[in-house]
Amino acid sequence: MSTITPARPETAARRRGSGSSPSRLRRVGAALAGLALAAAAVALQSAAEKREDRGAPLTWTGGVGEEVASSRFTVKVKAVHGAKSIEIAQLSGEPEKATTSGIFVVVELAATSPRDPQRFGPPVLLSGDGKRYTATEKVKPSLTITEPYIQPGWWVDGVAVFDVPASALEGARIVVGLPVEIVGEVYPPEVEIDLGLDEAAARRLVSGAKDVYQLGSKK
Amino acid sequence: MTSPPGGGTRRRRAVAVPLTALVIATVLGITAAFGGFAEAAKRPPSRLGPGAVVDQKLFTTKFVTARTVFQPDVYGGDGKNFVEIELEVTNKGDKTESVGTPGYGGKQGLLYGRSILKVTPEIKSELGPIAMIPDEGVVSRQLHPGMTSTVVIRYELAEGQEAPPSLQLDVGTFDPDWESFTGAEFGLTLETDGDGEKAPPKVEAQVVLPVQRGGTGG
Repeated sequence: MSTITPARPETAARRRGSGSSPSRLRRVGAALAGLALAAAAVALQSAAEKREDRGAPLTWTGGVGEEVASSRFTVKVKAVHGAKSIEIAQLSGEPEKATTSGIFVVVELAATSPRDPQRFGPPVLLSGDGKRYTATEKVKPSLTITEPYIQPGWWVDGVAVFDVPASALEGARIVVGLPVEIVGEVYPPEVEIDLGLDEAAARRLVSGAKDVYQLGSKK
Repeated sequence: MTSPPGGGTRRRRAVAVPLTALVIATVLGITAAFGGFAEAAKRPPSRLGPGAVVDQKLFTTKFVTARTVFQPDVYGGDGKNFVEIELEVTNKGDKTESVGTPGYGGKQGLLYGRSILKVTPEIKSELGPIAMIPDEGVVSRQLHPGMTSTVVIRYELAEGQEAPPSLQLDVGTFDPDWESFTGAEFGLTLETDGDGEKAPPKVEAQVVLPVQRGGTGG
């Protein structure tokens, strides 16, 4: 009882004084703080991981000739060639000849793994304007870097072949990673290597494109 | 406390309320007269012929021709008859897509082919239609961004089965901004009529192609 009775006049006084300036200041302050918190929340939201980034690969980057090591494999781009057609040797009979309305980009790669054997999924050519070109299926996967197991201890050589319009060459990068699974792991490792194609180099790749690039054994 | 009745305030009539009511009634009346807020009448799909180009948002497709094709048997058999539909498809999207298969037997197709919603009359074919890019040396099924490919949809005819004189293709469009709830990608998604979960795909165009006779294919 004794604690409640003195409290009453106090609250009454506070109520009566609600129009006075210190309390109004407090209210304005609270409103400002609220606004600031709301603004901060909105700002944080825009910095949050976007849906398409959720579980997206972790990317290690580098340039041509560099050994670019990710957590589970190391990739090196040795050379980049342009070609107007690809001749694919067959076990018997005439070779197949793949043609394109654009240009074939043949990337010579080498890869190794620090611990466990790995196998790559189809590589992707990422054009300067962000378009993703999956490696062409006109060249059988068995003739490309996706076929062999990448083993610890030595470098495995292979190619990745892309079928792209000439406009995709400038600023192009190659992305090599593990195969995509239905229930994929989150943040799988991938290596992105800049092919070093500025405007002039892209033009040289087109003008210097071989008429026929041969793949497959010719036994 | 309040101002006394009469005097200068008598002329002030409460016009605001009846006026507002009148305005609301008029606006509602006009809106109702024009069909209310329901979606405007759907634009009927455009009817097109051979050579027509349809913008499918993620792709542009030219409907080149339909034809019958006879493929002789290498080993001296009867050979096979096909009906082929030839398209020129340009991928306007950001990544390589696959041609998939067109809808068949009341079922939705797959990937790009899904946008060929329906072919009438339906060509009965034991294995259903297949789609491919046959003219680039090695058969491919990839549609790369910024590139135009000749896609052939092929129905194998049974012995004695007649090809129809003409085909009507119901063509859909792809939703360029579609995002799945889980973020998983299940490929290309068609735009639908209305927002319902089971809304049918929107028919953007109906293309009628006469079936040319007597081609031989390889």
